[in-house]
This record gives sequence, structure tokens and C-alpha cells, in this order.
Amino acid sequence: MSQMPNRSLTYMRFLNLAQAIRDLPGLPDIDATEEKLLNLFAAVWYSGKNIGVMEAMEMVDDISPRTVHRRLKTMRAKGLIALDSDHSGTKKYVVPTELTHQYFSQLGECLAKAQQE
Amino acid sequence: MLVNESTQTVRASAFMMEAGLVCVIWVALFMANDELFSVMKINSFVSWFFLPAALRMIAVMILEWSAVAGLFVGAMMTSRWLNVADLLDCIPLAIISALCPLLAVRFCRFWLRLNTSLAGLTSAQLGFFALTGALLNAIPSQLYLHFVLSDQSSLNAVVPMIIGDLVGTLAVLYLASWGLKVLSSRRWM
Repeated sequence: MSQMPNRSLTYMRFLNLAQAIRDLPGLPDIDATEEKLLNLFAAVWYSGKNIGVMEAMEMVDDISPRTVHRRLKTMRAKGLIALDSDHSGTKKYVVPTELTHQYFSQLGECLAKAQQE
Repeated sequence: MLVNESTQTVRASAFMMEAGLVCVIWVALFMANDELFSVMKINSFVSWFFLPAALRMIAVMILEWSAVAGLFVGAMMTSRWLNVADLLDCIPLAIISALCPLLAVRFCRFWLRLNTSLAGLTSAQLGFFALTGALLNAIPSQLYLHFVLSDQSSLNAVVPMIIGDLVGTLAVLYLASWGLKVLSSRRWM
């Protein structure tokens, strides 16, 4: 029984250290919804098309447009997407950033390594 | 009496297992570093990129004395000794490699006012731990090599060793950070 505090302390140290490591600056946290949206946007971007903000909000059937709009805001704050206006300034398009390209290229490297193994 | 003996046996077993795990990881990282980054080596003790340095800091932060034991045994196993004289020379270096990380962690905890559970540890403070660990390993070991083993070139190796330990530690921390973020985004954790 007297051993419990030692084990608990070890586990607490591990948790606190893991949290600090996780918070190191670099790629921002991406949750499952943001990842899904990024993957959908990527398919459209790489086909050479633009995605309007309203189109983006309607792209996912199982996520409400309001939720998508909120996620677009958080993704923009994280630097994962940017918003470009058209010539008239009336329509806004969701565009990738350097960080988006970095994120996908790191995923690509992981896939390549997994295939080699 | 029986309960106390049983508790002590469990504690001893846990200590040995933790030390053994740290030792195995140290040897694996040392061999991987030798294999992958041999071009970065300056001599048998110093490299511009040293992955095992991360284990010193992380293991001691979590496990303290069992990590020290594992690091000592691991350092003895990876030291290049061919005879008893070499072995006796390697023991102080292994002690430095094992004990100095504990001193670094205790100093950092004191300086940063962290309690023993590391509650409130930030990612910026991790950099301070990494730098202190690098300094407290490189300086004593190179001073020992210079003044005790009369290695004239060792003082020139202090800065490369500090850089090697720091870069190796930060590389492992960033890799771990990326891994944790990718895993948690997939809700595996």
C-alpha cells in the first residue's frame, strides 16, 4: 500500500511531461472534424477548383453548416486555411496555407514510411 | 512483517524493471545514433547530434533513481573499454552520465518552482531542462577527460557536446510532440 504514492507520482510526472511535450510549438492540434474538412478541401484544391465559404459549409452532410463555419474560424486562427476574396471582394474562398501543405507532406511521409515497412 | 517484505520485494522488482528498461532504451538509442549519425561524430564520446541525451532527461524526470541506475548500466555497456584500466576510467564517466541528469532535473525543478509531480510544466520550461541537462553533462565529463585522463582535446569538445545533447534532446521531444498530436487527432488516446 505504501508503494501506491510512488507509482502515482511516477504516473503524474509522466502525464505532466507528456502534456508539456504535446504543447511544444509546431503543428497545431487538429481534431477529427478539422481533419475531415481539410481532407475534403484538399481533394477540391488538388483538382484545381476553388471552394467558396458557403460551399465549404455545405460540403459535409453529417456536420451542420454552423459547426463547419465555427471550424473554419478555428482553422483560420491556427493558420491551417486562409480566406481569399474574389476581384469584386464579394465572395470569399477557402485556400490552403503553407502550414496546410506542411501537414499533408508530413502525412505523406508517414504513409511512405509505412508502405516501406 | 510479511506485508513489509512483500512491499519491499515489489518495490525492488519495479526498480529493477524500470532500470532495465531505461538501460535497454539507452543502448538502442546509442546504437541507432552511431548507425544513423556517424558522420556527426567528433570522437568516441562526442557527436554533433546525440539522441540518447533525450532519454537522460525524460527518464530521470519520470523515474528519478531507477533511471539513474539504468543510465549508469547503459553507459557502462556502451563505453568502449577493452581492459580493466579502461573499465575503471569509464566508471566515473558513466556516473556523470547517470547522476548529472538527476542534478539537472532537481536544479530545474528548484529554479522553476515545480513540485515533484512536475505539475504546471510548460513546453518552454522543457527547453530549460534540455539546456541544463546538456550543460551538466558536457562540462563535467569533458573536465574529467581533460584533467584526469589528460585528454588535451576534450576542452574543445565541450561546445559540440552541449550542442549535440541539446539538439538530440529537442529532436526527440519534437518527434514525440508530433506523434502525440497525430495520435490524439485520431482519438487513439
